[in-house]
Parts: sequence; C-alpha cells; structure tokens
Amino acid sequence: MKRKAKSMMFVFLLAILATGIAAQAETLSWNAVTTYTDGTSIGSVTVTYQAYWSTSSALTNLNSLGSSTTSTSVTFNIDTAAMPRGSAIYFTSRSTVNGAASALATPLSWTVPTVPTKTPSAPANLRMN
Amino acid sequence: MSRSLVHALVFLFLAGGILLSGCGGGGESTTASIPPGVASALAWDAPQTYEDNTPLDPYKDLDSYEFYVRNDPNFTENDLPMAEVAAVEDILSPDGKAYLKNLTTLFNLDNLKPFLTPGARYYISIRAVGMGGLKSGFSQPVAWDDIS
Repeated sequence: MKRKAKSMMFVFLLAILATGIAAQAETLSWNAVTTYTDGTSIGSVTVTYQAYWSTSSALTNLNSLGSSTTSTSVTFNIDTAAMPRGSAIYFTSRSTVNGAASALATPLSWTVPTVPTKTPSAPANLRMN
Repeated sequence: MSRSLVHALVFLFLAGGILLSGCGGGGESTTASIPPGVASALAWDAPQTYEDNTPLDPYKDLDSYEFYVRNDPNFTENDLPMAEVAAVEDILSPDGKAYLKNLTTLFNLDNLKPFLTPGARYYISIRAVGMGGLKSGFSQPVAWDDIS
C-alpha cells in the first residue's frame, strides 16, 4: 500500500480576546490541511491537530498546547500554560491522519505579553469601618 | 448611658451591617446599611483571582481601585469614578531604611464628603483595576448615610 505523507500549509494567527470577557484567553489558529505531500486530496478523512509551543526557535523541548480533531484552533491561557511573560516563544503544530503524523509546521514567533490581559475579580467584603 | 456602652452598641451595629453585606450571594440588591454618624472609612478584601479563576497576586497584578458613588445601588459601566487610589502603597519599614509594599484595603470616606450632599443616602461600590488596565466588576455596594 502506498503510504502518503501529509503536507501542511499553516498560517498562524494569534488573537487576543477583547477586554471584558470573563475568561481572558488567547487563540492560536491555522489553515486546515487539505492535501498529502504528493498533492492528492485528503478528502473527508478525520485530521487531528496537535499544537505546541517552545522557547526555542529550533522547536526543541516542545510543550503541548492542546489537540483538536478537525478544529483548526486551540485556545490557551498564558499563565496556565506557564509561558514566560515578556519572552519570545514559538508555536508549531502537526497533523495526524490515520496514525501518520506530518512534520512540524514552520514556527510562529510570539512575544508573551508582560502584563496580564485578564480581568481581576471584584474586591470582596466591602464594608464600612 | 456610659460612653463604653455606646461604643459597644455601635460596634454591634457595625458588625451586623458587615455581616449582612456578606450574605445574599452577591445580588445587587443586597447592601449593608450603616447607621449615621459611625462610618469613617471604607474597607475591602483585595481580589486574589482573575475572573477566569486563575491566581492573581494583588501586590504585582493590581494597579488601583476606583470608587463609585450613586444615590442608588444600580452601578453601570457608564458611571465615572469619584476617587482612585493605588492598589499598593510603599510604607517605611520600622527601621526607616527601606520601603515595604503594603496592600491598600482602606479608604478614608472624608475624602468624598466635599462632593456629596449632607443628609442624603449614598451607595458606594469599588472596582479593582489590573496592571493591564482591565477593570473588575463592581463590588457589592454598601449604603452610606453618614454625610455630614
């Protein structure tokens, strides 16, 4: 059986959700994989995506950011993911079809915001003294 | 009536008001009522989390607090703050050789009196402002009748 490797054309877009939303989160998104490396169409087969981040542009020591089936985005929280604020990190992703994984996508550089873009909870127990 | 007995009654009255403010599940209609002639300062507990429940360090993640005053407890995003204080203040260490970070959790209500009408009932609510500039929701309001 001819084994087909998959090609991936990734276009990463980072978006910071608007202020005022309760759960401040960032979203990493990419274009869907549509062909194998030989140019033939993937068709309707299920594609699983795994997103990663690393402090190295060489993509060593990958940290998992999350996986999705068919969906072409993953939402994450900077602090929950333990990303270093103020430093550059690199995103990448790979797709898997029928157990065969693609190569890693070209890394996307992003500087982690130094200031939390999250909404504080309201002060509690307001009282007169 | 002795002076100490008066103080004890005032304390009980205040304690009751504070306890009331902690009940009611955060509904906007529940406010603590403070008897006239008693309140002189507003106190609160600094938030310890963001709205998404991730931890917040009030020493480094909060910028300030804003104070809002209305004639009713229905605070809205269109309201403007009447006062603002830094969330963290520097205080001199006991030996006078360094500054220590101190959380601001008290506000002197006398600062607001010049802008208010004596005898009227007011409601006060505060918001925390994060270092990124995002504001928390309004705290549960408290009623204030001590405008003299």
